[in-house]
Amino acid sequence: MRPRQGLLGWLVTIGRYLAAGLVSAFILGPIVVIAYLAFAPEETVYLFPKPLAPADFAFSTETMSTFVTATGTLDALWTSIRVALLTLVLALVIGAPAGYALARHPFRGKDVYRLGIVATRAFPIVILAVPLITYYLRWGLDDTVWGVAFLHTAMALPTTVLVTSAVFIGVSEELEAAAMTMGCSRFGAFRRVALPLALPGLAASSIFTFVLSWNEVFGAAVLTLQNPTLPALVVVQLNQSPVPIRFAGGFFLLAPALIFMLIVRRYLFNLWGVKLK
Amino acid sequence: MSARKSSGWAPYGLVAPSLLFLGVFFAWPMYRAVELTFTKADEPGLTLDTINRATAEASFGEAWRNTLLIIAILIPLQFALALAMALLVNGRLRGRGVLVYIFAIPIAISDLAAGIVWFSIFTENGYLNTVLVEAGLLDRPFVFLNITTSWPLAIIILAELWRATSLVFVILLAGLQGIPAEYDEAAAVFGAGWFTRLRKVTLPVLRPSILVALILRTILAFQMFAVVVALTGGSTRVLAAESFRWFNRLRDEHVASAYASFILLLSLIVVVIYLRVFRDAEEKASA
Amino acid sequence: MRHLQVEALTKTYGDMNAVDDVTLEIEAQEFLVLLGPSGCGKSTLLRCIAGLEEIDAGTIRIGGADVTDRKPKDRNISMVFQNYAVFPHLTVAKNIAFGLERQKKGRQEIAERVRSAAELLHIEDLLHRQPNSLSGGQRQRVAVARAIAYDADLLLMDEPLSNLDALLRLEMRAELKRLVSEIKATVIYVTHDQTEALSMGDRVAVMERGRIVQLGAPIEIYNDPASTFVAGFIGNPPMNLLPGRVLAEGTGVEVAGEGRIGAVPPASKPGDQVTAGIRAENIAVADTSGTWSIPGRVFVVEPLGSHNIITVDAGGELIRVSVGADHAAVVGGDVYLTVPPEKVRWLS
Repeated sequence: MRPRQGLLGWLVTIGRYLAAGLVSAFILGPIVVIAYLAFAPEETVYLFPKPLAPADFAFSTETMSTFVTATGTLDALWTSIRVALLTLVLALVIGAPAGYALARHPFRGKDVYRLGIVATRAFPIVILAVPLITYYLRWGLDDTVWGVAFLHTAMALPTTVLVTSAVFIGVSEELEAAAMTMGCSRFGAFRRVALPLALPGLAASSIFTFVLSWNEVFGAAVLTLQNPTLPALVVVQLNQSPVPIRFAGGFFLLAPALIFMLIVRRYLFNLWGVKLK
Repeated sequence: MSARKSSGWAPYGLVAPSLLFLGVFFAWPMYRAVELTFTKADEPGLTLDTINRATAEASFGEAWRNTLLIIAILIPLQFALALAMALLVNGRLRGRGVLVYIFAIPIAISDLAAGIVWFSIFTENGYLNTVLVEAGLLDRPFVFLNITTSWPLAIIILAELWRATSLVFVILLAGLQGIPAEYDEAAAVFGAGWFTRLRKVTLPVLRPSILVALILRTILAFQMFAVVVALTGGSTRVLAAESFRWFNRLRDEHVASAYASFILLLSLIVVVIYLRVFRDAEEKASA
Repeated sequence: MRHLQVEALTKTYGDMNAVDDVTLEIEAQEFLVLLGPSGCGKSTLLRCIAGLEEIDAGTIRIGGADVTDRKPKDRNISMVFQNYAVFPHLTVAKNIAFGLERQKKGRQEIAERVRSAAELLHIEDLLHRQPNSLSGGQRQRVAVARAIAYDADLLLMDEPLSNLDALLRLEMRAELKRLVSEIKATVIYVTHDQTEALSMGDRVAVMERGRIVQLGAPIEIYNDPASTFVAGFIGNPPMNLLPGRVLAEGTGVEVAGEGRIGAVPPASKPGDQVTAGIRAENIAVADTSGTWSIPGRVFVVEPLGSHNIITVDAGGELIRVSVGADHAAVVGGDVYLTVPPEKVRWLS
């Protein structure tokens, strides 16, 4: 839109920047707070009033190290990593081929399938952990990395199928056809042309799946007992943990997410159709 | 692709694993949830005892009330905020890339972390109280997280607003950017002011994105669990937390599944309502 | 041995024949154009020959070998696509070398062929660039270079010029034609632009609704169209098609109300319904009437710089006439059109 002229235009612009600043402060503020509390000496947590001036900020890794070295934390961390990686791989291996089929092959029942996949996103899948555990107990999957990964994969699968489908649609079919006229079999064309071009989109989808699994609390809490993921560990122990530990745990859960978002924001925005000019 | 050789089976082969997987880990548990709801431990045959056991407790009504209340307030607020954020970012602003990144950060934040973060702010010797007391607005720290008041509900709403608005924001932003500038410009040429343009041009075209965001966000909201636990230790009842409590603490997977079924039912009803409302709005608009 | 033989090729989509029982033969080093409006099946036919589409009936032989059941990569063909299909993730050089690497040619030979193909298309200094930094015209050249570098019997081109702007299209047309004859390629070229078809092809196959309705040298198709469809499709402006009736005397045909043409279709009887096809440049404009003339009123004058096109309303029929640039025509003025009898094409 053309810029507004005059005083009103100037006020609107100021207003926009102000609003942007306020919302940014709203979003970033709490993160700063928890970061500070996680890295403050333990007494600060109980202190009142809390130090406000930057000069009073003391840096200490006490709380964080207590949290990290507490029993079960490192194991839970390792469990979370394994579950998330497993979910990532499973979702991609099961979902990407389906996405490719949706993008390339017209087949009978395609629309029904697609509609079904879209419809599953309207269901609260996490809740299904409760009935699922009753099966797991029978199959011996309870309290295992695979068990949680399966639930997470079910949660991530519909989105993965739809996203990979969009990614492959974005790779022009003409490119694979060209490769096929120049000595590639159908699979060869997929491997040499479609896959490299789809890789950024697939990577973004994978990272999204990873974060989904990493953050998931309810299912992991229901499906595990002795081998919890990090969120499951924290939520179950939450009320018994001393407050500083809770804060450390909170920051610990937060940090990877922030780093992920920083690394992949461009890919994710492309994925969601958001353009950054 | 070669002549005469049918590639007929290939797509089915590619799609089959996903169908199989979802059948086992999605469709079957759904059925199982309902089955568990209408049965009881150590007793064959269908029964309503489990449901009765759930409804007998006071926390049943509380959980429903709280869940519905929170969502009724949260969703409209979230959408208003997300829309404002999307409009803000879509306009002329320097540093827009940074802004989009900041606005989108909360997407990667788990509800547990969000609960802990806001707990740290609102707790009795937390930063909010510090600021209020230092500024002289309060004499003593105020116990915000007192479950006998409605403050916890408000804080839960605030925490969710902080955490989950980004998802709606991203969906709406993508929708907004799909609207060609010409629509808005044409409206402006024909004399429509800013608010009119918003109502008559932007929002209608944004309708599909809004519907998608509404469905996704509401379904997720019904499963609200960790935020509540982190903020109130489970004292404030919500449906998903009840499911967890019955499973974890009270060791009754039947009642836990009953709550899961309740959430399922609620989700279905709400989605149908959303679809209806939007379909009627479409028809009215094109009439 | 014919270079390409297509026999009774049929491809169905649903209950419609996209390609309907087509039989076609091409000589080595021939430049054959498949011409027709969108939806006529020309691209589908090309893709069937390439092996990118399954066929429902018929056979295809390339260089004498039956390739009907073979995959595209085993048919020894090379192809240029409408949107160029230049691989975005490879440099220009890697793009051109793509097929050659699949053919397991030696590194030396590949480099040599890439270089000479690039030179032929004047893109030698673009070899290390990424495709997304190139303009549409440059990418088109990469696509052509890639196709000619690849060692193949048959070169297929699917509307390679349609996405270029008008001036570039003109340049590339001439370049392509010269290039193809220089490398002695056998080409099947698909286009909907009849100017391209007439200027480039050794032979043109005009297609309508999945069938080839006329196959011949450009000048044949231009002067002697086989049907009203071809007559109306070829030439700019298209051939004027005037419905009329053979006069009672049998010496001429009555058209456009009171118009008279001094020619009759062979083996016709008085009273027969006929259609006279006349090219715009074969009509003369006079101010006075004669025995064999068509009276009319000037409807529109379009000055094109090198000549003018005037549209004449004759008894409700709009007749387009090509006249000199200095011809003074007044809209609304009365004119009389005459046609040399030997220039009339009789169509049904």
